[in-house]
Amino acid sequence: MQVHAGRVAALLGPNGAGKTTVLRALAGLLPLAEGQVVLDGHMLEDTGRRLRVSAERRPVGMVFQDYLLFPHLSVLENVAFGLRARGARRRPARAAAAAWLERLGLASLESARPGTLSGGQQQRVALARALATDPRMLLLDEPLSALDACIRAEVRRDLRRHLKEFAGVNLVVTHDPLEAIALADRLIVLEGGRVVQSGTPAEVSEHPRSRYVADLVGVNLLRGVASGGAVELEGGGRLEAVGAGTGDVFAVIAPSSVSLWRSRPVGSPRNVWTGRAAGLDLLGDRVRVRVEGRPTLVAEVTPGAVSELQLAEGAEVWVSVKATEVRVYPA
Amino acid sequence: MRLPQPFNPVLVALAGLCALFFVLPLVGLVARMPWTSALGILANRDVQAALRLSVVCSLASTALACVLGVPLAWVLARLRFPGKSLLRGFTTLPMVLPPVVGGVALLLAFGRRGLIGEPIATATGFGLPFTTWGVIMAEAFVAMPFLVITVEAGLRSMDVRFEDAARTLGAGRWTVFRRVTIPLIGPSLAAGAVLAWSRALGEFGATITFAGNFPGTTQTAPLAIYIDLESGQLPSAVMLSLLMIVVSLAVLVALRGRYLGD
Repeated sequence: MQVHAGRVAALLGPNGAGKTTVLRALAGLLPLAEGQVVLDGHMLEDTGRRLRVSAERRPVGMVFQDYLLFPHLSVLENVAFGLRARGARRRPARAAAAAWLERLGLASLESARPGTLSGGQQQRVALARALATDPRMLLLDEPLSALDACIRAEVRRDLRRHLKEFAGVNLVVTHDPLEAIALADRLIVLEGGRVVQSGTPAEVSEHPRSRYVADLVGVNLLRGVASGGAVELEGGGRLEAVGAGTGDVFAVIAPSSVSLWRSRPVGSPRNVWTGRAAGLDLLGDRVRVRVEGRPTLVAEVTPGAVSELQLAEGAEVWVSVKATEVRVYPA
Repeated sequence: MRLPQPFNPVLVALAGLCALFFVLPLVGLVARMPWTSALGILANRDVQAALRLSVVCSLASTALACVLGVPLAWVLARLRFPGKSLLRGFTTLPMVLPPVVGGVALLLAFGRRGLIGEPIATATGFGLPFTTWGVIMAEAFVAMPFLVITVEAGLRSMDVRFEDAARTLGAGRWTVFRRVTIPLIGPSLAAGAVLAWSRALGEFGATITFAGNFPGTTQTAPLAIYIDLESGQLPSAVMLSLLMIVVSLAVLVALRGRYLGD
């Protein structure tokens, strides 16, 4: 995993993928079983050489999921804590903390206790506290998940601005793809403790490489072996695709390009098979129908089409996909 | 909001009986209070010495309990090692042990003929028993468990991620302990210290066994009360008893207001 300074990377993944574990390991709160952590060319941890810089010596700032502001200290003392812990005298530490609070628009809250603040204010105090020690790397663990939905957009905008101003390495952990795309220039998708995909949000959403990403983007992802303009799918079925290439591939089909019929369609579609409607979800003014067959796909149709096709759970339907609508890329 | 409870006459009658059981002895004490000679009793040097010793020794043993008991509570709450439950059993044993037994045990360990006491006595000529230090030790022995279990519970219920947050801010282990852990368990620490202190203040059995009963050096208020009663000086015993009650009540009220809610 590699993250560049001055840019914001988001570590995205389902619950239990190990996102928070990665952050804690980077911060030095969890020892690595095996591997290295290098920051700006400085080795922070190397299990091979039994080298390990302890958490308090790492130039790392962390914003925790529920912020963990010290309840017994005032806002100003919270922000000054890091400087005091690193040996600064009380007066300069407080002055520096006050400057950070000013910068984040919190000057009026200096003497408040964290418990009296709103979620958004707590988040900014946590950010000020992490930034006050002048870290080279900023780690944010689900920075917006503790907030009410109604203020999340506004806080996200503010947070994005502050992250842009930070010159060091920025890593945000989130399970919310919207948040990841809004905050980050680069996505790193983590599943089952492994990086399955990384790149710009556009790259990741155009070429999903896992079920999780495909679900986020809302497309059908299939895997198989391509040869001679067609893909033999894992789990049965065969798709003709324009430009299928050869070898191990992913095939992506947008639900809107999947057509459903009551009887075998006539005409041009190259890929035609029968399936059974297994689930119907209303999504805005569209209906998403899961059709089990070889292969199983999700199709997006209008409510009118649903009644016309007499679609219900268990109904038999014909499925067709044009060869030009199947996008194939190497696995 | 509290919903009205159905009235149960049997429970209320038993509760009233229970309340009388606690109140009547106090009424008896107050009824025999020697109001006219109160000042004369308070002027007595032995009475003053007993009160002073009680206050000094209970505070000193509480301080000892904090300095040694908090680290023990931390070890019990945070570390994993074999024999931990055994260690916890030993440290809480004095809570259920008859204090006299504790006094005997202390004597056999730290007395002039004791396991550790003898080498110390031959090397330095100093013996703990029958000194004010002995009183402090006996009181700490009996009172420390209250502090240890209260603080351990506080440490267990504390969110340790606050300590993680402090570490990412550059705080070393002592800074974390001093500026984050201790303040966060402040209420437990205060409650434990007050419990230990009140236990030490009332300590009798271990003290008289290990430290003896010498006016001015080891005779604390509870010992003085007992001796006064035995030697027929009832007014003095009643006077000291009432003073102890006032102090205990003050502690209870302070605790209830701050830590027990309601």
